[in-house]
Amino acid sequence: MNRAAWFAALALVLVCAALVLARFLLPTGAQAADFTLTDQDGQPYTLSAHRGHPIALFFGYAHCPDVCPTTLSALARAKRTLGPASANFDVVLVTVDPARDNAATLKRYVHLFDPTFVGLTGTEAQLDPVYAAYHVYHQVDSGKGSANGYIVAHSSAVQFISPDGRLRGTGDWSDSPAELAVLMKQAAS
Amino acid sequence: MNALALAAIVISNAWSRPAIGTGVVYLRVANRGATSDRLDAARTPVARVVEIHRSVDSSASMNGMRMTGVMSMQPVNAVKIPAHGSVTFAPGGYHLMAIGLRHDLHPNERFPLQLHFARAGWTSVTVLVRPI
Repeated sequence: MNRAAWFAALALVLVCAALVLARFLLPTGAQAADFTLTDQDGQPYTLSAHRGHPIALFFGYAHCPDVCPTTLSALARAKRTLGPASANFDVVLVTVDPARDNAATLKRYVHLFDPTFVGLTGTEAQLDPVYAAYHVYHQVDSGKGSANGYIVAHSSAVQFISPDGRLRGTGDWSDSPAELAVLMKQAAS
Repeated sequence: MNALALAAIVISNAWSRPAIGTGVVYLRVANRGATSDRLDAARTPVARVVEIHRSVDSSASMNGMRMTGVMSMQPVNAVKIPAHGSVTFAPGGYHLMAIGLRHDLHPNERFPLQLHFARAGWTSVTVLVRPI
């Protein structure tokens, strides 16, 4: 192997190591970062005011037709699978598209899936620290010639938070309702 | 429109999800013919425009680290349906994006969709909005 190939291999190993570290930047057991945003009824929603409730927190937007509805649908089914055991489980969507997602839009959107789901919006100044705390990448992509106006590329992780406000596992959009139900149960216990 | 080509195209399992503003359609397109075809347009009375999109899991290019996965979508001009083959439009992959919905899509609702193929021309299907 020549020198260039060795450097390429070394670079690949370093990138992998960085990605492995990135995965654990939100360590399970750490306190979930607190925030106050506006809920689907226009009321303030403060995360720490919901102690006693396990929470599934994820990020998306109403103009997202594929990944976000897949996640909402799977979370709704997971919640239903658990029955009464999931009664106080809060499923919370935080918008990555505050320009289009006001409280009323989010209410129509999340309640299509489950009338107990919470949709949160806010100003960019309110949302940016939340994205940072939960390591949520989001990027408006307007140059693709879609009639959808623009698309928002965004992190697809679902963070589970225990009733005492600690991070208790991570899922994502591709998890089945059964897999999400396991994570819900674990977060609630 | 080519009648033989149209007969070769079989659409099945067309479904959607509850939506406001922007909806989705998933389906399976099979081509029983000996010549490949291309799905290149779609329309429905329930939406202003229908586009073909593909969701892209960026984590695939990041050594499979899905935990850090960033999902995005790309418009696609056409999808090739190979001869004696099929393409499934499914969550997280190819999908039809129904933009500018004229009403919210609710569970168990059905709506018509027309698909255009380069060889086969237009064909119609009924889409079911699956319950949660």
